[in-house]
Amino acid sequence: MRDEARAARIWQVRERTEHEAASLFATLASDLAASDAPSALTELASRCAEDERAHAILCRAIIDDLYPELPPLAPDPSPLLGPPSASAERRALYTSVALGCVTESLSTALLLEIRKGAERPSVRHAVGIILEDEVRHARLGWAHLAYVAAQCDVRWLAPSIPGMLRAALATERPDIDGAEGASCLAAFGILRASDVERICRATVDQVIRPGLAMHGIDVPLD
Amino acid sequence: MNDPSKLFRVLVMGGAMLGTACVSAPAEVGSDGSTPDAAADNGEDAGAVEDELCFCPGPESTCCEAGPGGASVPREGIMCCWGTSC
Repeated sequence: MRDEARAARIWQVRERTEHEAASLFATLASDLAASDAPSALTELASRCAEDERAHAILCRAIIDDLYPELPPLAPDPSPLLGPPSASAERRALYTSVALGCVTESLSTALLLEIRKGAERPSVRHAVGIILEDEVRHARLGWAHLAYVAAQCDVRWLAPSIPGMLRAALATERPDIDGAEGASCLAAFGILRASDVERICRATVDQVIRPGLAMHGIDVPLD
Repeated sequence: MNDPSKLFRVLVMGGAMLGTACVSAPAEVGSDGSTPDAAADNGEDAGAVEDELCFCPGPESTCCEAGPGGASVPREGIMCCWGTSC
């Protein structure tokens, strides 16, 4: 398979992920509104949902550039994070931490590295926009966590963090599988498996884990 | 690879400032990421988050001030993130 086609398949998965993230942020905005969170957080979550929809369009533009025959993958129609029986407040915080503190923090770190090697104009254009937005998305998670932690104990989240990390790392798995044995796809925005693992580990150990510990959420070491 | 400590400051501390209102000077962060709980220090100001976000949208932002020589620079305790500047 040509490198372009190989890379396009990974962007196809990313396109689906962006659609799912848009749904999750929209649900988060609803839960924040229902839990009387500051309107700035609710509005930010709504903006994040719009960002993610725009990201999906950027991913599609890359696919069209690299391998136009690839159709969109069907996203999960109704993704939901957190215990189904949880209150809107708890579900919102669970989603903020899983999506913002964990997934988007990892994405930011990976995109910083991806941007260095992205040479294809369509990829470079998209990565620049997505990176700027991911910073805001991650900050929403850390902002919501800090807001709630200032008022009550958030340590109930601790047992769920390893699962959140596993799920987030699995999201990056297409990069690992797609680049395995392939020539370097950095120009198309695809990192080597070893780089993905190294960056994720450093981000978990030096950003996510200490950030959660600030609020009393201790995550056991691997 | 990019410096994870910068990521920590921009994402975690930047987010904490947003969540607990715009704190003018974030706590020092140790090399291990440990820091006093900025959230607890500033929890009473949480309502102000609606009025002031800590993202630096540009030179007109309240995050910026005139520095030495008149150039616009980030206020003490504010860090520009990628794609923004004063």
